[in-house]
Amino acid sequence: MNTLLAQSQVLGTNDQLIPLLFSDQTPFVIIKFLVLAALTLYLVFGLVMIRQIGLMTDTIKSSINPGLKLIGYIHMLAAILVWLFAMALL
Amino acid sequence: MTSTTHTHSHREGGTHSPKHRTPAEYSEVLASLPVGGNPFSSFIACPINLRYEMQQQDEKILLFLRQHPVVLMPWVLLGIAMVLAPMIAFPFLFPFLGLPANLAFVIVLAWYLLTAGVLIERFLIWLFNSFIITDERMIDIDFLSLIYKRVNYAQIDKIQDINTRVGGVLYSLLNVGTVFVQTAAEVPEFAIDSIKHPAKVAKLLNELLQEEELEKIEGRVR
Repeated sequence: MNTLLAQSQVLGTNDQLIPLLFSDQTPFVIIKFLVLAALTLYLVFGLVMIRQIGLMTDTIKSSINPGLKLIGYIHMLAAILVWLFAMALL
Repeated sequence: MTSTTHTHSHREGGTHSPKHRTPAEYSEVLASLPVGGNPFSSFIACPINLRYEMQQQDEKILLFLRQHPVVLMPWVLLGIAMVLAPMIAFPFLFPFLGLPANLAFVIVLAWYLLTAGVLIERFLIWLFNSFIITDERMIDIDFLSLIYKRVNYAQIDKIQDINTRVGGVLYSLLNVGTVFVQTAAEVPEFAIDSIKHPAKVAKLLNELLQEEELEKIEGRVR
């Protein structure tokens, strides 16, 4: 924003600020921001899932429980990796 | 875990009390079913290595029920559609929108992550939404979402009425239906929906109820 203001001051008129704000790249910047926000929220979902698997396996104890907990951790790891990947690429 | 043919000694653990009858002695249903079975099964008689929260020391699980896997069919179809979507729709959609390659790649990754999350969540909810019949009570465990859990209990001797309902072509073919149990407990009705062999479940509940009444008449103490 500061860059845009600086550019507008250099350009000297507010008329040229509006095209900068609504340039061709603006939708992509918004999509990138939304994707990153969604992936950050997904990390919270991954944590909730791990917590819930713990609650479920406490309610019903069976031989499959360790495998289910592992699925929860693998899912969380995948969510972290995708988030890191997104931060690096976008 | 493999199913084994039923014998009395399996259920009794080798002990026999003259005062207390074992479930296999008074239940035709349990006597006809194999003990244990696949832990992912939707109908397990006398499950091995399975306990529930609040289970008492001398309480035995006689039947462990989940909804028939056919209820997962819509989710399986949704999963297939979500897996195929990036291969079918995205190659046309992304060039149309003019998305940069790195952004498109991250969106595809995020899509598959979401697909995995949705399918895992539904599978877990199916796996743990269960109905348990023990020799003392019945327990209805419901996980309506990942953050909502409800557990209802009712003593067997609180059962007042039992009804079954099987409806629909597919459910009739698969012998899947709903058992309604009216009780004098805090929860007036238990609906055990989309389960295998509803008639067997209703019969077992009747047998347990009769045994509870016999225990009271004969003064048998657990």
